[in-house]
Amino acid sequence: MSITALDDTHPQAAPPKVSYEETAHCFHCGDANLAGDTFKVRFDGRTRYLCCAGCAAVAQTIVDAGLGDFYRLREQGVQDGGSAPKSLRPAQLVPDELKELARYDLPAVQDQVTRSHDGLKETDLILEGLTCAACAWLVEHAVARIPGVHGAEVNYTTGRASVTWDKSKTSLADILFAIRRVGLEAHPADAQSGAAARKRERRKRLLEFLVAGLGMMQVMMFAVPIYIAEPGDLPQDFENLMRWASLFLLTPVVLYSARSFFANAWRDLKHLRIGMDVPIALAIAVTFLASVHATIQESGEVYYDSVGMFVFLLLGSRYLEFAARSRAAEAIERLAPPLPALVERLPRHPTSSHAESVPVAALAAGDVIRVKTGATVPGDGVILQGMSALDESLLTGESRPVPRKTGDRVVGGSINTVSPLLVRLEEVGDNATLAQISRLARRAAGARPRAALISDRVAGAFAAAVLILAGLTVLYWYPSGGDAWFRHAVAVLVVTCPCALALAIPTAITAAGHRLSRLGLLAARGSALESLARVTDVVFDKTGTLTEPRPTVKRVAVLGDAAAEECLAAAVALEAGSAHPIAHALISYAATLDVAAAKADVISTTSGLGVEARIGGIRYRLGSATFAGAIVLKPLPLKTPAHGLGESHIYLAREGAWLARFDVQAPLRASAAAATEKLRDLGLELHLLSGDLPDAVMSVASVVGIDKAAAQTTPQAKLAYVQQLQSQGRHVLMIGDGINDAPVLAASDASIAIADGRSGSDLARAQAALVMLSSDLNRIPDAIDIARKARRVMRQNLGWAIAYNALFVPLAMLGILTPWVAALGMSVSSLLVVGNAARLARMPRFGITRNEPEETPWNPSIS
Amino acid sequence: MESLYLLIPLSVIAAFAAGWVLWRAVDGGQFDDLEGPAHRILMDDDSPGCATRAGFDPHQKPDPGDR
Repeated sequence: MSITALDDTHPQAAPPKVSYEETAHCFHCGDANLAGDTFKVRFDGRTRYLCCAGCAAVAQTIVDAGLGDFYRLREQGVQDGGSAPKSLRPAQLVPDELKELARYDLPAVQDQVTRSHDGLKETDLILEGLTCAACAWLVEHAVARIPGVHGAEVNYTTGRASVTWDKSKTSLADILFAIRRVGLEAHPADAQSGAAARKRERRKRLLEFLVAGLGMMQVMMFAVPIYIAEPGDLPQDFENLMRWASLFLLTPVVLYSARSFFANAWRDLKHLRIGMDVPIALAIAVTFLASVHATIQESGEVYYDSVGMFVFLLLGSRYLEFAARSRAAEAIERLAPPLPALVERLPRHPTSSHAESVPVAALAAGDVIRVKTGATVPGDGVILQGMSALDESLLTGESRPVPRKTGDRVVGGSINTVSPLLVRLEEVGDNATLAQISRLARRAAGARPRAALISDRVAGAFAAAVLILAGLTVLYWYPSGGDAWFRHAVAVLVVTCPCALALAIPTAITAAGHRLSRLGLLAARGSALESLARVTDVVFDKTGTLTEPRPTVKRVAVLGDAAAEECLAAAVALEAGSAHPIAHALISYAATLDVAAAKADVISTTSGLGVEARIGGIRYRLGSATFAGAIVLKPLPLKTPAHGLGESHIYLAREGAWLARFDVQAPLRASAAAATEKLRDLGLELHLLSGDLPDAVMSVASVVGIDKAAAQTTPQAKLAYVQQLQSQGRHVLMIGDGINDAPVLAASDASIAIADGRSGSDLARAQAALVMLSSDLNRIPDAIDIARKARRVMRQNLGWAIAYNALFVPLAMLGILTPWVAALGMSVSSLLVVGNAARLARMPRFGITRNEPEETPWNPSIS
Repeated sequence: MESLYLLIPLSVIAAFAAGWVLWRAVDGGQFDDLEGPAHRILMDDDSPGCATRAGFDPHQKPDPGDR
């Protein structure tokens, strides 16, 4: 293969003059081509220009391999009106992008995303679209070539890059821009996030595991000769030497690798409860100390190999569990808003209207800010000037914007939908409503009914049984004299080694978690699966959960003599420039029908009621029936139909005549009905809690067949509802997406936050046990099914572990158990348990759609 | 058989040496990214252009399944 891009001797050299248009965009990726005519490729008799060496190589390969149809089909698809993939849209203007990225260079933002040492800055970047190793390489080199960058390292496994740079020579915006130029998106990870801690934890656990493995293997080398030697074959000296060697090898395993078991067991005992780590720590300590005793005394049995293997297997399963959890945590962090939010502050109000851009983090109470249309209000405050409608749906769940005028209070987190407002902030940060809801959520999380998890229940019973049995053994053997009582009691403690028991649960959880992640559900909490399996009631939020987060136009009813297209053109003209969700619905509806807006002027908005404007000199009104009717002075020609399914009716009128009615509705998610049906089939009781108006809630409830529905609920009321269910002994699964759902998500036994790229707030995600990246609600019954299967496997595993113990303990009590039988029995039982759990990851099931999670989902919900 | 008196302590020392090597490797971040380096070696070059000439094969993509 030859690369034209770099081959100066290519016969088809480019013509000397190249027009701007041909080089403006990369032939392969469609992004802005800043390389001019540096990279080129011959295709279909023309020279095509590319933005970088990577694209040039790929394009040349595609053309050389005779796959040029890819480009022909792609261009055709675009001309046919097919939606062009994202990468084909012409890139935004470069200066705009730079301006956007420059936000990262503001000091308040820098403190959040960078670490400083030795005069250098260090930042972790999350890379979007890192799909192959070539991309990783490109990013590394693109960044390293910037003067002032001291080091750039891409971790391909985690999709993150770590960059060190000199503040005086370059800026974060330059680095991000360089990455964007090679076709990837990057945004800095929050320096406070868990990434660094996870990396340390990962290294620590890995080393513990490797040390245990090394010790285990060497000790096994010394144990096998002793097992297979005929009596008399092995001189006592050698045996003693091997025992001492084993002791040396295993000391770091017990003191270093296994120290977390001891620490956890101690913590459990201090809180007067028995977790799984208590019997584990007991088994390790007793077995090891008994072996040390036997080694020093030069008589008795040693169980070093059992200890080594035990620690090794347990650490292995815990490492896998940890790896799965941190992968989920990483995926959730990727959902964070990619740009820091900026606000316009008016420092010298009211003497001057000079505005400066500051990051939200830098705001203080008393600041006067301008909230642009479509922007989020950064804190609680009072409107000084202006009139608008605010979408408070993130906080209350109510989907219709609420009118607000000068003197009214606004709540942080609501979105300004109609016209700019001047707001004096009264509470920001911790005191704002948003933060209060977040505190309510944290408190609720603390009060979450601590599920008596299977493993803990079993562990308690197990530890008690083992101690009782050991006591009985002592009582039985003590009268026979000598040290038999000690040897046999130790044998009991060794053989009841809770290895299989300790592996039974985590292996099943890891395997099932893997299955869930393939469904687009990430388990953020370790106990998520166990609680999901026990769920008896499912509580849905409405807006953004059962319904799509944005309304659409469902129907246009013509009321006068104008055609539907004409009405739509007028309506779009009136709504032009408004960020109101209904305006959004009308505009996108018109776009699908290819209706262009008429020309309107003198647009004025009456908050909460509608818009008025002149088109061709005639007054038009769009809004509620009374508002629009005020210029008609005639009754409506059609009877108003009942509001169906969360509909809003918007009327269009001109002076003296009704024109049309638009029925706007946030549609149900396509999968809602099927998913609720499946959930009922699983024997679950369904509830619907919404902050929306009763009409809207009831109609949705009736369509999906939920009879227990409550409307206009506040976050507190939702919380109370769920807690009441819990007090009746029900186990509640909450499914929601908004900030107002966060307290309930935190308090429920199990919770799923939807973050499919169109809905979902950070706070909800932070409080949920599971985060769903897909918008297909059918994944929820699938997940419950997997959780129940996992519970079954856990029970099988526990059953097996107990059966194994029931078989071996009597042997040990009777004193007919040798160390090699103990070691063998333990390994076989552990392997059986792991094998059984591995079935979970592969278990076929009808109805489960094994799609990958849809396109990289991130959503700047409160930016 | 007497050699065992030497060999067994030696094996213990060797095991500890291996442990130290592991510690160095983990601490140096060699296990942080287990996929990238395998691909990086194919493109180990200083100028971006030459690397593509040196045999970058776009068909050879890593399995994205386990990420």
